[in-house]
Amino acid sequence: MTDGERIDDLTLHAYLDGELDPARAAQVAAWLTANPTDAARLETWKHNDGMLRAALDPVLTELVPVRVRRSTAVRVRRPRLVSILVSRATAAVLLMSVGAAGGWLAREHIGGDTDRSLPIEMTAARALDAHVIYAADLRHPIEVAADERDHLNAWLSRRVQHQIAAPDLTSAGYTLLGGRLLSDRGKAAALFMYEDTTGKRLTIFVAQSRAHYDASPKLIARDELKAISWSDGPLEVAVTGELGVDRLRGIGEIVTTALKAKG
Amino acid sequence: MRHRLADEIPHLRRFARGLARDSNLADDLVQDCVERALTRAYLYDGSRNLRTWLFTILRNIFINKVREERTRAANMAANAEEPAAPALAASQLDTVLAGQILAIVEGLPLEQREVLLLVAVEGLSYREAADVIGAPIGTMMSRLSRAREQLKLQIEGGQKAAGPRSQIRRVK
Repeated sequence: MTDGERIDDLTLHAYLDGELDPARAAQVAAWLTANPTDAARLETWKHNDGMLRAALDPVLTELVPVRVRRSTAVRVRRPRLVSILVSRATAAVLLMSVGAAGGWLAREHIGGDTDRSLPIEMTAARALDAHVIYAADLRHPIEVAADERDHLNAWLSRRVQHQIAAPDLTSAGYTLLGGRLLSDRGKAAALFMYEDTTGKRLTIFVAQSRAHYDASPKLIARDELKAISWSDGPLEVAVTGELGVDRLRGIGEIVTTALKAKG
Repeated sequence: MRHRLADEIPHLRRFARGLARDSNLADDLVQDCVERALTRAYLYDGSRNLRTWLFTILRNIFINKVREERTRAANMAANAEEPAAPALAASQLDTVLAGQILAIVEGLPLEQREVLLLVAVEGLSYREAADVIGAPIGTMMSRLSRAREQLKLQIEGGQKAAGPRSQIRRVK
C-alpha cells in the first residue's frame, strides 16, 4: 500500500473501531491528516456513536424488572415449543419436545431427528385416540380390573409378547382401575387405566416396537389431553392424561423405570 | 451459569432496548433469551464468550418475533412516539436529542441496526459481531458502514429541516 492511495470507507470504520493493526492504523492516521473531509466524516460517525451510547447507556443502570430478574431462576427442564403438526389421525396436534439435561431424557430434540421420531409421535397420537375412546366409558372402561392384577399382567404380557406389568402410580396420586387389550395396527397393545381422586383418568399404552430403536420422549396435546410417548428397545410406551406437562413427565419417569424392571 | 447470566442481564437489556425500543418488548426478549440460554446450557462450551453467545440467542429471538409479528411490530413502532422515560431521564444529553437518535436507529433496516448496536454500543469486536449475526466479517463491515452513513444523513437531514434547537420530526 503506497502513501496517498485512497483509503476506503470500510477501512475508515475499522480504524475508528480499533480493528486495524498498528502499521495500517498509522497509514490511515496519516491519510486523515491529509484529508480533512474524510477526517470530518469519521469524527461525525464517532460523535453519533457517542450520542447513541449516551441514549442507551442509562439502561445499564436501570433497576431490572422483577420478571427479568426471576428468569435466571427458571427450572431448566421446561418444555420448548418445537412445531405444530397436523397428523392424519387428529385434527391439530401440538408437538413439544421434552427438555434437556440428563436423567431419563436422552437428549433434547429441537425439531431434529424426524426420521426416527415420527413413529413415536404417531404412537402418542394413537394412544391419545385410545384414551379418548376408553377413558370416557363410565361402566366398562377396562376389561380386567385391578383386583385381578396378576391375571391382568399375565394376560397382557402374553398378548403383547413381552413381560409387562401395570406400573404402580400411587406415589403420583393415581390408582389402577385395570386394563384392556387393544388392536393397534394389527398387533396387540396393552392399555392400563388409572384414576385419581378427582376421577380424572390416565392411561398407559404399551406395545411391541416394530423395530428396535430408542426414541427420546415426545409430547403431544389435544385440547386438555396430553400424551407423552417414547420407545425403549423392544417396547413403545405412551402415557395419556389430563394433567400438566411436568406431572406427566414425572409419571413417564416412573413408568419407564417400572417397565425396565419387568423387561 | 445462572450467576453469570444474572450479571449479563443489564447488557442484554441495553442491546434489546436498542433493537426493540419498547421497554416491555425489550424485556420480553431478555426474559426469553435467559430462559432459552438455561435450556441450552449444555450447548455452551465455556470457551466461547458468554455475552456473544447470549447476544446471538437474543438477536435470533428478536428476528423470529419480527417475522411472526411483522404487521404488529410495525404498528407498535409507528405508535411508540416516546421512548422509555427512565432511560431518557438519566441521560446527560438533551432528552429530545436522545429520543431522536433512538427513533432514527429504530428506523434503520434491522441488518444495519443490529451491527451498529453491537459494535458502537455494545463494543463487540468485528469478529464477535459477525458471529452474532452469522455473517462473514466483510458483510458485517458493509452493514456497519451503511448504518453509520444512514445515521449521519438522517441526523443531518433532521437538523437541516428543523434548525438547531427545535424538535425534529421522527424520521421514517
